[in-house]
Amino acid sequence: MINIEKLTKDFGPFRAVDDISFEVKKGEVLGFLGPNGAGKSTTMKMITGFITPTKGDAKICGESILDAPISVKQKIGYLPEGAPAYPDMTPFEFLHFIAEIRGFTGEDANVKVNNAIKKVNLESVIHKPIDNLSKGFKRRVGLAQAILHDPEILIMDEPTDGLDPNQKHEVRELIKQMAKEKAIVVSTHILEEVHAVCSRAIIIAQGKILFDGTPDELSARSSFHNAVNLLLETKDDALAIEAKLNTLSHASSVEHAAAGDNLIRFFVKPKKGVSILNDVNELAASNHWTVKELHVMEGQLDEVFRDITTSSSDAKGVQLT
Amino acid sequence: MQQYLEVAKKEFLDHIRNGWVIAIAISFMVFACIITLAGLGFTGEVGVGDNKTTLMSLSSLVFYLVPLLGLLLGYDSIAGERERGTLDLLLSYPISTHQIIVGKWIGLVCVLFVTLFLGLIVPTIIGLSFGQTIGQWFALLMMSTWLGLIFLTLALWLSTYPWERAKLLGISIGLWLVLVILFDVGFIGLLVATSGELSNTIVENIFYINPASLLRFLMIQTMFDQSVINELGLQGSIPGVFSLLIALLIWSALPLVLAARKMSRY
Repeated sequence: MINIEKLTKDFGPFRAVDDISFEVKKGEVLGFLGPNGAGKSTTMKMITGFITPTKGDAKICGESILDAPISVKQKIGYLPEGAPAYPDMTPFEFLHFIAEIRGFTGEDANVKVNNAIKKVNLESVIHKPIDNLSKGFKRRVGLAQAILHDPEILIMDEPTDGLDPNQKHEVRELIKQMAKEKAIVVSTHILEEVHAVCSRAIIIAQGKILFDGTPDELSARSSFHNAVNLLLETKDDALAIEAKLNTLSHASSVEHAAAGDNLIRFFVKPKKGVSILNDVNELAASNHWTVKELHVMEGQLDEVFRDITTSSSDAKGVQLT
Repeated sequence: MQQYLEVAKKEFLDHIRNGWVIAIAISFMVFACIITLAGLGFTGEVGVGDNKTTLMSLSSLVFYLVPLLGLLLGYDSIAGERERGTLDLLLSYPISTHQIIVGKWIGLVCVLFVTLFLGLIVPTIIGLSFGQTIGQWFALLMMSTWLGLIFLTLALWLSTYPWERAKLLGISIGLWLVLVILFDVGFIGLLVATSGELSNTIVENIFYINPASLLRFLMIQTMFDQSVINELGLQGSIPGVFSLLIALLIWSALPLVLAARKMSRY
């Protein structure tokens, strides 16, 4: 449904997006990750058709953003960063304005607005000025305008940024509900979002794609992937325990950290492709250690993200020569 | 067409909603009422003057205030959207950039017209009750709206540049100072410096660079008789009505075209 072909954007001598290509299919939720200034928002703005690419093209449901920008915009719902809206308007007035701008009139517009209000649970605030709403409700108003015309493509820039955990959960649930019928791109720098809502992730830095895969594949790149997290209550020397854990044949390395009174946490990293949970469990039993926690880690996305985005030389962008 | 009207309607209702229209109309009405009721002030008496005196005084008020109103109305129309982030939203909808610009322009012109209409209605009623004629009052309203429209369109064009609102406000006020206040002072200085020996053609051409002066001359030529022009010593040195109309139409349309072109490059 979204087909990005060699998309490039230069701002003067600064190349913000550098020859990126990818596809998003119906039913996919693509997490578009990257540090600030990586080119995420610029890419989103090119896909939504209001920044013209320097080179390349984006096809939305087979139509080019360059050849048919208006038609493409009819197929896309877009939530810009911060969910901007007109503060003096009420959600009802705002959504009606959007409906009419999108070409809906009369009863048709009413139906679209009411459906959007129901989907994001805005009923209690529809006649209050947007300026007086909480951040969570403002974000819902932003979501409502994005889904008002039931678009095939949804593009959301930092949809949960700045929300409290409950509000984040609500927004993520809404994204999951819509995911089956649409192609969704979620730009974020919140890594927990990847596992929470995305079926696929792309990491971009310096305007280039550095990773494209599933959340599990992303986690697998962590040195903590399949590591065993072991929390012990003990008065023994941590280094002595660490030495014992290091004797395990499938262990590649062991780290430890104090976790409170008489509590020490150990991270036992396995050799690639090997499970080490049973070995650690048996060692703990044979040594009569008091185990408070024992589980296998998925991997630390922070670490993978840092590895991927800082391995490239300059995160500020590429100067054209 | 629906998109033009929706953008215009939103722009108009925004200014009704935030109280801009009411606040400015009341201020304008107070000034205009004082001028109307004190029309004989220059004779040392209190009372409503004759038609010509009242309208001359009101046209001075219009000349100084309305360009500022137009500029204040237009300077943040695009810049405000940009700073709120709502320009990103608007541009993501199936609406062209010229529909946004022209729609906003239509809405703002309506705001200006309603503001001036409300501001002038009470002085008009006062004037009519003292035997003045409605035709000239209507002409004053239309000329005022046109003057404001030109400055509004200039501000709308400036607003399409990626500058902060504070900077745009400064530029707008500077433009008002130069074209409305300092232009006349500079012009008189030029006449003094050249001992009044500038030819009528040069004088006429100088006026073309200032839409405020052009509209003032159009007001004088269409709302008053030749005696006023003679009293002001302007005979032979101001452009004719046809030239004024053409020049003012260009001043009205050109900034709008430039604004639409600038927006299309977003």
